[in-house]
Amino acid sequence: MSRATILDAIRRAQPALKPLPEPAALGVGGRMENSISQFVATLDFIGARVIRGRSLEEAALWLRENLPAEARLASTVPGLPGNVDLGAVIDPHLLEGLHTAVFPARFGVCENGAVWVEESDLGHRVLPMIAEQLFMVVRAADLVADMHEAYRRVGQAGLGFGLFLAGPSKTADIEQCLVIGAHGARGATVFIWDEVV
Amino acid sequence: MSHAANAHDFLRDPARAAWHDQTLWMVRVKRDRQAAKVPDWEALREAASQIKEHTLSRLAEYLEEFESRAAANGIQVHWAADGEEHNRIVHGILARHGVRKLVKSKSMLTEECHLNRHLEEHGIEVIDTDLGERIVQLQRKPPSHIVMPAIHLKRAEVGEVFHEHLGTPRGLDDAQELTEAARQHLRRQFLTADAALTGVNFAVAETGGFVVCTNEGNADMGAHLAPVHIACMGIEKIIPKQEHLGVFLRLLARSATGQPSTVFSSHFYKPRPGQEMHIVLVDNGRSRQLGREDYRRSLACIRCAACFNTCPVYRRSGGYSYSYFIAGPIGSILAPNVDKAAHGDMPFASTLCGSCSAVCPVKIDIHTQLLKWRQEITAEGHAPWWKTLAMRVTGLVLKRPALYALAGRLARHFLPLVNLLKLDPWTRSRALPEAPGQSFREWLAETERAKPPAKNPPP
Repeated sequence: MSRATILDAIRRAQPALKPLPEPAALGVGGRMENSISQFVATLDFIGARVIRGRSLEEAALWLRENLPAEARLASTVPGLPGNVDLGAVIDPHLLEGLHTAVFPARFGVCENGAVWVEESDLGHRVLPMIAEQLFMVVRAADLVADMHEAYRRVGQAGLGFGLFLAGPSKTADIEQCLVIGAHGARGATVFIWDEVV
Repeated sequence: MSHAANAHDFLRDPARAAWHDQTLWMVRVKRDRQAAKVPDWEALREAASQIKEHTLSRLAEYLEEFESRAAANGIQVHWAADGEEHNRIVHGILARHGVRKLVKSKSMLTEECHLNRHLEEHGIEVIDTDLGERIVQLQRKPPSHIVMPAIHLKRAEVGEVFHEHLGTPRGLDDAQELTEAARQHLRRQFLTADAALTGVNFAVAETGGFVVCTNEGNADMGAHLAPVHIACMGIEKIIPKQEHLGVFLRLLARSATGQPSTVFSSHFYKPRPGQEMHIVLVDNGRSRQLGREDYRRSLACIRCAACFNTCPVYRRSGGYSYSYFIAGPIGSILAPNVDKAAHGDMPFASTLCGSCSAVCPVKIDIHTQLLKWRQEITAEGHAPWWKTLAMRVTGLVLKRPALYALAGRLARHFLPLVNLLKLDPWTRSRALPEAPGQSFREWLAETERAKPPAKNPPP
């Protein structure tokens, strides 16, 4: 067991205490724009599709109109259609072949187009990666400007898993050619709703 | 072979070398564009640098805090003094579960420890799942770049590799189709793996959780499907508080690939029900580097590789020219800590232009450390004999004015010959300028003699 050896070596090597900075005092944070148009522009840049609506009914309508009838659809948003009962799926491997995953995001981040998603809203942690398509629902009121504001909203206690998810999975590992759809979803749609029009 | 000799080989194909240079420069330009969109970019770099410096000054305490919080969350924490112990721990966990296939996301630490070889010797199949890493793994080669492991390969070469190993049609060279083939192949691996191993981008002492960033989603696909998840991290990956992630995540993807964020920034706090989660904390020379004041700040590195993409030497020599698996400027200050003799020439593979330090998101003084390593390595006698000899002779000449004057005269006289023979590496692709007819001292003496005496000498 090397625990004591390592900690001893570190204690011998570590320098005198250097102060922990207060990032805000250094001018960090609060400088990015918080607006729907900024959020939408960023989502566009990272290859996500944006749909705006006044209510969840509009989202349900969009899903019914745009998804093939036979598509396997798993939803954790009450009121949005789904034909896969996530509660009955014990083994996450069985989610393979899922056409679309529909789930809520707690909030969106304007500066990078990411949305914060918590395990309790997913049913299975692997849901946002194993599905071919993602359909995420976020309220227009739940936008933050930057990641500092974002972390003020991320809880800690009791959380098992959470993630910032920014658009569809992608890779540029072959000659720096951007390809959408690496191991995760091939497409990501963000439905922003209940904005005051 | 030395970096210079390897780079010479790399440059035998000028078109390809130019392509490599331009491809990486394009990533640097993307980074610049994103950085310019963030008004508090410089404040972020300063904050990141100070948070890391503070953390390194309290590293033991933060590791203990992290360990107890992680354990309270049901994560099993292990400590490894070196690569060998790390490999033993990982194999022990896998053996206990009877694991035959392991899916692995990108982890430079496991490269450092040569984990794959160790596990394969024990009969465990290891599948690297990052696309670039899978390509080089199929070639049985190491990554040539820490963020884009197969950046040195052309599409057609990837097509060859996939034809041989994945059975794609011969001559396939479309990036989209090649990626699709890899997706199908790796999806089967994810669905049949017995365990998953990931790296760690940041571990938070305050929460006992850790964050893994990918664009492809491969770390998540592995970790959320397999019954066992092992996360391996160097002890320097700790940050004190969750709110500090805001600082580092804003810097990481912008610096690495010029994206505002990675697609997946996954925060692991607890194993999922029924899953076993392990963290292996690895020292492997890091506590030694921590004690070396001049090089301590290299431990602040967040492995974004911005210094690779901007480095005029890396771009024009490629990752395989460096003797250590982490190439580029940051590799050149990490490698001598591991083995001064083996990697002694890496700090010399630099122009010391300082571009690396200028783009580093955590403000590591990379080029200053490169210079310090050069001095240390030379003082300890690891420099090549011809360089030592050249320096001795130069020292000898510079200390003796008469000898210096003679050397100058000879140099002025024989310069055309030096250009012709190309004995010096510098003259291989450059001609030294024409030498003046006389030295400065000769010119000064002559000018003084010709000057009329001053009428009113100053008092």
